[in-house]
Amino acid sequence: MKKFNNVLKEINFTFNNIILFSSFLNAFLIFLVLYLLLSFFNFYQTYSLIPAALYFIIFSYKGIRKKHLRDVEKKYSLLNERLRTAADNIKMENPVVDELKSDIIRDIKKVEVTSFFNQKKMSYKILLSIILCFLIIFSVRFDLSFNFKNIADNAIDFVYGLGGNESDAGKRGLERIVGSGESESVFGDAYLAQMGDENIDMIIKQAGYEINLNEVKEPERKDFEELFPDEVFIATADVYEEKIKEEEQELVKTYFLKLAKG
Amino acid sequence: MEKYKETFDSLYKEIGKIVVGQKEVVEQIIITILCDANALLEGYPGLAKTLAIKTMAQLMDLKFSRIQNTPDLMPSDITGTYIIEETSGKRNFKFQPGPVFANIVLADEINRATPKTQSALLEAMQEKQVTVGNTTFRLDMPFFVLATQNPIEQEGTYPLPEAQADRFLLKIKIGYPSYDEEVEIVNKYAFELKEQKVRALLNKAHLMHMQTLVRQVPIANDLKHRIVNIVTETRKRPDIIEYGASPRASIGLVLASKARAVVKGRNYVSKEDIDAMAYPILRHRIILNFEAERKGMSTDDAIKELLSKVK
Repeated sequence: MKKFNNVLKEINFTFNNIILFSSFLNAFLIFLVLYLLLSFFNFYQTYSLIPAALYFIIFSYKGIRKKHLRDVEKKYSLLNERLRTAADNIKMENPVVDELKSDIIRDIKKVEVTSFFNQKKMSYKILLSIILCFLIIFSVRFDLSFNFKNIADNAIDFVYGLGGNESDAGKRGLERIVGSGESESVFGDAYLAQMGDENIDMIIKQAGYEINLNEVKEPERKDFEELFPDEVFIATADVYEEKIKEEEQELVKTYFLKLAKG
Repeated sequence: MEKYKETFDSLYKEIGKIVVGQKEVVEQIIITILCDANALLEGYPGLAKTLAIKTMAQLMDLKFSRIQNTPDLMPSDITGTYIIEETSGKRNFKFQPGPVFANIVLADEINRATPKTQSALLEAMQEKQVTVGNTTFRLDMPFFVLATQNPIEQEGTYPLPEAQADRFLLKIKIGYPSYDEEVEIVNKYAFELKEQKVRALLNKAHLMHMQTLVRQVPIANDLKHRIVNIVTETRKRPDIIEYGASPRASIGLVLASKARAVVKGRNYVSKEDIDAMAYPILRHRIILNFEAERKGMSTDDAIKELLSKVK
């Protein structure tokens, strides 16, 4: 009964596909929910892949290993017990078993694949995944996140505010943003340097770091009217010697002497 | 399978002309015959046990014989014996077959016969043969023993030992008819003297073919396991059962379930068949303990409990 073998193969193939699709959809939902939560709490969002992948592997494996004939029988009482019996006695060949197999081949045509899908549930899951995708996009676009440090600081401010005056609290707030002299975080809070999902590996190099700024003084005024400093001297420009011909040099020299005398 | 169902439906219809109600009893007798086995019928007097079996033999066109068991019944009264026959002046021993040489043997009130006589019948049941002196005679096939016993009047009886009771595939309990059925019985038998006749619907060849067919009925693996679980569970309940059923019960339950499937026109065994046949298969194979009897529990109650526990 090769035909009956094919029927069993087809049932298994169809059910495996359904299980894989269903597991994938559930795993995708898990991934989206965890991604949203992790991004909201400023944690590594890529970690959400791990539970989603684990879910997919475990449930797909379990589902594929399970015998699906009972599921068909549950949906179609017409095949109840018959399908299992014929499958268990697949190697047996006698008129009764052959009749049973033929009956099943006839009745299996009434089985619809869609009847094994919970369409309502599936639609809800797809809709939910779309909503989650949008939520993730919005949360990234508007940088919606839950910062524990800010909350803790605000709580501290609130407590200080109860004990001291308003200007003190304001000062502390300013110090927190720009950093105080005593604070190591002179470049402000680390989270301000974050862009998107990744930390920027940025090093700020100080320009002229070899200069001790403490030794920098106001520029001094120098008077050059009486005596020229040694560094000041006159040198003949090479230009004259190079460009005036040798026979004309004496003539030029005489001309300039006359000019000086006159 | 549909044509077999039609045959059995007409069989019920035909037997209904003689026996009012007792459809379950008739069905279980047919199942016994299809399994090529023997059954023990237990019921109060006057419940048409003998009539049902006799009618069944007529419907199946089988040779029927009846043995009324009494304490003085000898084995040779059942098996037959050698008699001296004189032909043309010569005397020869000739074997005179007893009532066991039939297709359907009704052993009425089997518990009234002595154990020696009972065992003579049991050899025929088990081996389908009879040994007289040094000679063994094969019995005509198909061969069934349908024994009856009375649950009351136990004085002066020889109850079947468990080992011998185990050889009966089913223990069929015959209950009282309903009110309406009893009215019908009165109308049928209190006014007319004429005996109703039934026509034969089956013959030996049909029966033998159906017996082969029964063994070919497939059964799902999980149902096979259920059967074994039910039988083994009888040995794991010391709180209510003193002695559980043997593996012969497992074989019997599979076979009887298959036969019931054929009777119902199905080409596979259903859980329903197993649950229905568990009662007649197990009720003479388990012995309740004192505690269960003190609580007023019957073997059927115990079987019901086992069935509800086993997956």
